[in-house]
Amino acid sequence: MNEKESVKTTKRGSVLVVGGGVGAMQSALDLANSGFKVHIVQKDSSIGGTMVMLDKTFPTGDCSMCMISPKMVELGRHLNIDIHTLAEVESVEGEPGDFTVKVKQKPRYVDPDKCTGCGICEEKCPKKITSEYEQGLTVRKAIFSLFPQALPNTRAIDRDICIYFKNGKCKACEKFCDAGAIDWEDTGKEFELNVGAVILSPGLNRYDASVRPELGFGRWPNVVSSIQFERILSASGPYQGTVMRPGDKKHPKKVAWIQCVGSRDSHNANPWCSSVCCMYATKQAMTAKDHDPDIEPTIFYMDIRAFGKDFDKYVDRAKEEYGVRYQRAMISAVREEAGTGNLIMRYAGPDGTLIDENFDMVVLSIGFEPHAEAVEFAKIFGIELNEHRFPKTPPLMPVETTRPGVFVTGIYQGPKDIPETVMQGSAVAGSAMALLSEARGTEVVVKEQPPEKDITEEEPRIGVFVCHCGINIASVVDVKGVAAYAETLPYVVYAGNDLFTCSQDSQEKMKALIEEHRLNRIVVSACSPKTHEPIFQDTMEACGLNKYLFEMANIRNQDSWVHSEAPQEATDKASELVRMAVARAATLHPLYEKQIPVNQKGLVVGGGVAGMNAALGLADQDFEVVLVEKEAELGGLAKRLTATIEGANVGDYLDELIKKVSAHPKIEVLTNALIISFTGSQGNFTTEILVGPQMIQRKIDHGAVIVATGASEYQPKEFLYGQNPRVMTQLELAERLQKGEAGDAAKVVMIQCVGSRNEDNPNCSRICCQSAIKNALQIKKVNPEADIFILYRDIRTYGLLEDYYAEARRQGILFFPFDPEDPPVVESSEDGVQVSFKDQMLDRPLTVKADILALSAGMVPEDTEELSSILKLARNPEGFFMEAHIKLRPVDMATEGIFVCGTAHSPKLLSETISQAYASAARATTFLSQTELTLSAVTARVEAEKCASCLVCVRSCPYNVPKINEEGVSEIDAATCHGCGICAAECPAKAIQLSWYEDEQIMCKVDALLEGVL
Amino acid sequence: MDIGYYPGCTLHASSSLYDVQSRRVFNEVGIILKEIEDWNCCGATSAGKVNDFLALAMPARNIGIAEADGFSEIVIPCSACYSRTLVAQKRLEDDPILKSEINTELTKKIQGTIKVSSILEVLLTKVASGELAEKVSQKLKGLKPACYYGCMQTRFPYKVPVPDDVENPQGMETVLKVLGAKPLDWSYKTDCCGASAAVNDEEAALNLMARIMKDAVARGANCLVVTCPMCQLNMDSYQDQICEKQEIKERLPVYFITEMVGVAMGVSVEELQIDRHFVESAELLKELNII
Amino acid sequence: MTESAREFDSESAHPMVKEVMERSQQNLLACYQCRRCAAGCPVGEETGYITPDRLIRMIVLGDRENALNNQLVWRCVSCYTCGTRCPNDIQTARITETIKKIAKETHLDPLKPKVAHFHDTFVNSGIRWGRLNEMEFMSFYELKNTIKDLKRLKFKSIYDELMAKTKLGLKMARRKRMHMGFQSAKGRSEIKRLYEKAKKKTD
Repeated sequence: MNEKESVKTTKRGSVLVVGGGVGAMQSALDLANSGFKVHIVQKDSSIGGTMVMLDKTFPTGDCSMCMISPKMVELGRHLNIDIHTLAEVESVEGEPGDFTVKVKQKPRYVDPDKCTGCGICEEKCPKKITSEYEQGLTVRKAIFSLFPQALPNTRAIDRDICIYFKNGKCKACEKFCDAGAIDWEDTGKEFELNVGAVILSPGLNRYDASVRPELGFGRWPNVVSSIQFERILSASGPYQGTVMRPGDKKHPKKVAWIQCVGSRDSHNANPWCSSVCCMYATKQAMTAKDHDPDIEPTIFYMDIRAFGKDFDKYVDRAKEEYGVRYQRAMISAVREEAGTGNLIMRYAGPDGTLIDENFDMVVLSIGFEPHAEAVEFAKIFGIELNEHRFPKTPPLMPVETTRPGVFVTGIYQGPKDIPETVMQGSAVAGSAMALLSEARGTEVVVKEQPPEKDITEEEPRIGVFVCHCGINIASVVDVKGVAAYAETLPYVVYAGNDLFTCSQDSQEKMKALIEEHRLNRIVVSACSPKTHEPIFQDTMEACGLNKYLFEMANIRNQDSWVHSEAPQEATDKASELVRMAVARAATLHPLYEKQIPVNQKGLVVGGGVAGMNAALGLADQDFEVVLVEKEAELGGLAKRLTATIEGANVGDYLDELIKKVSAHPKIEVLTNALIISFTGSQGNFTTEILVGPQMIQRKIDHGAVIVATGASEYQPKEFLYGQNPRVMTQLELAERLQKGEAGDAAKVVMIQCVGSRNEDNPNCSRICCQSAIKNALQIKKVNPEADIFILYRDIRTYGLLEDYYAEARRQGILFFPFDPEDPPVVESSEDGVQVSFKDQMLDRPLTVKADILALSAGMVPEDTEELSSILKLARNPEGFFMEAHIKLRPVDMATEGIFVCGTAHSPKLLSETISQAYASAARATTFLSQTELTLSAVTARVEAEKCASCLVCVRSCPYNVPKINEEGVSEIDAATCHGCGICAAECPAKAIQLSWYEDEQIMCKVDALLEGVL
Repeated sequence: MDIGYYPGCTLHASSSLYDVQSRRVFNEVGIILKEIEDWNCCGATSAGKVNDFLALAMPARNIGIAEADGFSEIVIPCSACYSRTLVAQKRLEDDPILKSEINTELTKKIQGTIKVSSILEVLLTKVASGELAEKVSQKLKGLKPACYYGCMQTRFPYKVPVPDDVENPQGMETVLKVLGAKPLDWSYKTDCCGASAAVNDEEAALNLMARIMKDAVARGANCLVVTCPMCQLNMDSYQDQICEKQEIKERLPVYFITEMVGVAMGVSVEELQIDRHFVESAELLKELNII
Repeated sequence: MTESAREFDSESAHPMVKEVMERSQQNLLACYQCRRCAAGCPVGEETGYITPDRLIRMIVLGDRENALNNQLVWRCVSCYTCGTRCPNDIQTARITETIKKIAKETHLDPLKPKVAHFHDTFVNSGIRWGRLNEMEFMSFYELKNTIKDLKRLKFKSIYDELMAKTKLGLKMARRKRMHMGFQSAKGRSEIKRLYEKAKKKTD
């Protein structure tokens, strides 16, 4: 244990995170990686939240579990994150910086220190109940883990149904538990935590569709909820990924989705929009078709809210490549066809005719709603809720609550999708960091390891540990036989068995054996290195062994689990796998992770709202920041904004912000500045800038870059813009309204999606629907009798913005949808602009003589062609910067150490920009907060003499790392190399070797396998 | 115990059998239906199409009478009368000016405190107390009713305290299960039969009734059970016509819930006036050995 | 329903919307054209696909002519399905009732005269005696229909109607469902006074 000397501060260097979903995980990791201790308090028996229940995610189609497991594993192993499951907060007292939190933890009845997660107790438990996790589609046991990849993987006993607790019998779990982990005496515990900030991320409940019996949920077996459908699609779900309908397990052909179940309904359900359902229905339709090409999906909707980055492209793909049919009509009732189990639904066609259609299966796209205990929960934390029972947050700082020091994030703050949740998770971490920066490092634990032994002169002395893994491996593979075989292999001086090699006591045993037999290479034949390698490496380091002297043979996932009906062959295979592992182990030599110093200074490119907030996010934590702005003034696009739709004054906010930034002692502002060159790697960048009208050259050394180059309003070429003074953009209209002009307009027409969702720019600009409604409401305030017509393709007032759409309609603003193939026609007339369009509802043309025609012009990113080539950053075809991973790393760029935020990433609202700015500051802090960065030792190396400068490696590296140096040969910077090995594989001269995967280290395995065969 | 009773015009005319059955059956479980004095027509769905004020005033007068007669609860078997009275009560509660405007013309002034109950609500209290089960002497075994609620019993044009789930009511099913029948779920239980359109817009109404028949028959129901006299009259008197047009061979007797209760209690078909149905309704009971 | 482009005229739209909204007490402007009511309307097919949402749009655009003169207004059976499921709490049955009344007040010939006759005679009979007498009411109803058809020289129509109703009447008599008695309420004067009051309100 090693704690940094406490600086003179009363603030705590730890944070409490309530909740365990992906948002909470991101916050926890960002904070823990920046020097703060994190306590996670989670109500369920495992972390995971909603994301783990999903099958694939949009828009990439990545498997949800595959994406979240690495975060979960990192969290589980993190020295500075304590996870308290089955726990709830009872009270929070104190001040920001110093809170005392009382936590009550329910009894688990299984000792997490002893449990190895083998799962035999669950298998043997006789008591079943419908599984809430599998949405009632199958059963779970009284002793259970929430899902197979649960963390902690310790089972828990559901006291309410356990046979032993109810009538004293059974105890099958205890009988079969080899680790003796069942603890009937567990009483749970109550404890106190002392933290500096509290982050609330408890998520939301899903709407219960059985409240709407006319839709047939709970009545007709082949009507399922969307979350049930996720489980049906999931390979680890009740049907193992085969799309079947629950009623008769037939394969459905015609599947219908009904959108907005439980949402956008102020009469019978919840008035807000749940933000994700349009996208997830599209994803489900496409995924279902991937599983079964015969499926014909139809989605019944009102507006398709594909407002996120590249989401419209995704929906277009669904329509064009997958043939998903989108029908703009809501369903009144789902009727079951007697005898067949099929569903009959009636809907209004585009020409008004009523059509009855037969479907095999219906999926209800249910929305989110606050937990039933939302009010009590808020009381415990002392925060106020709004009328919809979501936390009350200031319009321009969505993670803050009415109680300083208590923050909110994720869907608890408002319905949103995974990328936004991850972003907001980082944002809230950034806010907490800003609050507690002086206490950084005061509560974290740093690992101390004994000095490394020098084994380079020694012959390999390999220890082989063959794991039983309870019965997971041992029930199929003869593990004792495999260990005996291992002893016969070259260089093996010890071979033995463990019941669970990963358990605490096995680690102690391993340490003792390493000493006893002077082992200098370790082979573990057990499960997957992905999850367990770090555990064994830790043990090795504790004994002074280099962690790269380790090899694992997976005789579980790759053997016992897949060959359970062929035990003899499985045992033979296990022996072969061990032989291969031993051969490799003998070739391993120590590798050293380089440490590079970090220049704890940030460079922010762009001085708009995003850039300024990012700069403050870093500067308030005492990091030095250089803010580079190409114009003469700070402010960016926000200079043209007037007010947010909630009514916050943007001008005042901007003035304050500029003042703060200009006066901040840690921020240096360079205006009229142009970046001309950029070199280096994470922690050590060097940027050259020409500043001011005199073009003075400056050289800045810094550790991180945050790109916030922003966007501007599209200048329309269509609809008489520029030719008729009555035609203006929404920004121009807002400016005029603020000046008091345009208030006497009697008839106003607004056309949406100008410059967006077309061939040149296939995406949605996200802010235009709310911007139009904002201006329309403003006009109505000045002139209540004004007639305002909004011509749209989809109204995208997502989340809690839906309230404003309802208010707009209430005030008499009229909305008319149009098809892109049949846009409105605009003609000049002497005293107005004649706008003609089709009223689809009555199927007839309508024309309005407008005093003002407002065009909702989209957002185009600033021209960053030159900048992106200097910084070597990728942009998508529309010119927005491409992040490392759209879902999991939404503010990171592919190049380590570079981050992006604001509209440079994609169109977004001012509040979302501010959020993302704080997120990027938080992400940058995860390494800026360290004085040194430890690089992975797994990097590629070029042997200069063999290099022919053919450039194959330069072209094949996805991270643009290999460069031709002054000597004319390829050189790979270990600091930026990601260790993927592509260059090593591609190099025709075999001039590149990847450490730890050198040719010899791979080939020896093949040779070992084919021993005696070739 | 005595309970206020508002029969409405049709229970003294073409649906008088419903009145007879209600009195008989409630009597068996110890409830005496006391018809309120000098009640007037509630206006049904027609008054609202002529004048809104009248549409509230007509049923409201009956509330005043019932309260003046000293009843704390009034039961209204006819769905339309029940709906109009409940809506009137709530409207008057929410609008005291309206209430006083109506009260000035009435001798028996409206307080608005009486409980306005549907026939199912009252029956269900007897189910809950077990008294109904006690009186069952003949289980309705073999009866597979499709419970048909119609519109007025389930959906209201104003926010009132609804008696049952609006989209999937279970009142009749609950009673019938106690009587030993096996009611089935089907897709048209709250769909409109057309009501007065059967008289003034026959074609439209027949289409509506046809859909209801088709689904009930396809589900394997052997009868319909209703609480609304209009639905009963429509589905009963037009059934031959619909089925011939739609080429449906089966005929489903359309029973009032009170008929089901009465038969289960051992009351004769004649006394319950089940022989006054258009579609032969006693045969099925004989076939199933219920009578 | 295609015709030449209509110019939006707020002078006709605003008062119409206001009147219908006030009298029906429904906020038609809240509609967001989800088409749910259209899907649930039981008479949707009979009205030439004039569904509640389309009727609302007609009113909002001030199309008085079509709003007062369409099949939905007359064929609506007040089943309340539209309003019960409407996410914006718009009870269109109340709107059709209101328009029936507005149509009557503007002396428009109802599209479905039988429907208008039915409701008028029902209410009149109910007020006249305090309780409805089916025979009496039906006689007046058929009388009104007959007179209307006579004026239009629709003799077959009269014949068909009377035949059908007589058949029904005989069937009912045979099944002992025909009530020959007479019912009335003494307090019907109160109802009559309330009716007078009601009439004054709409004038």
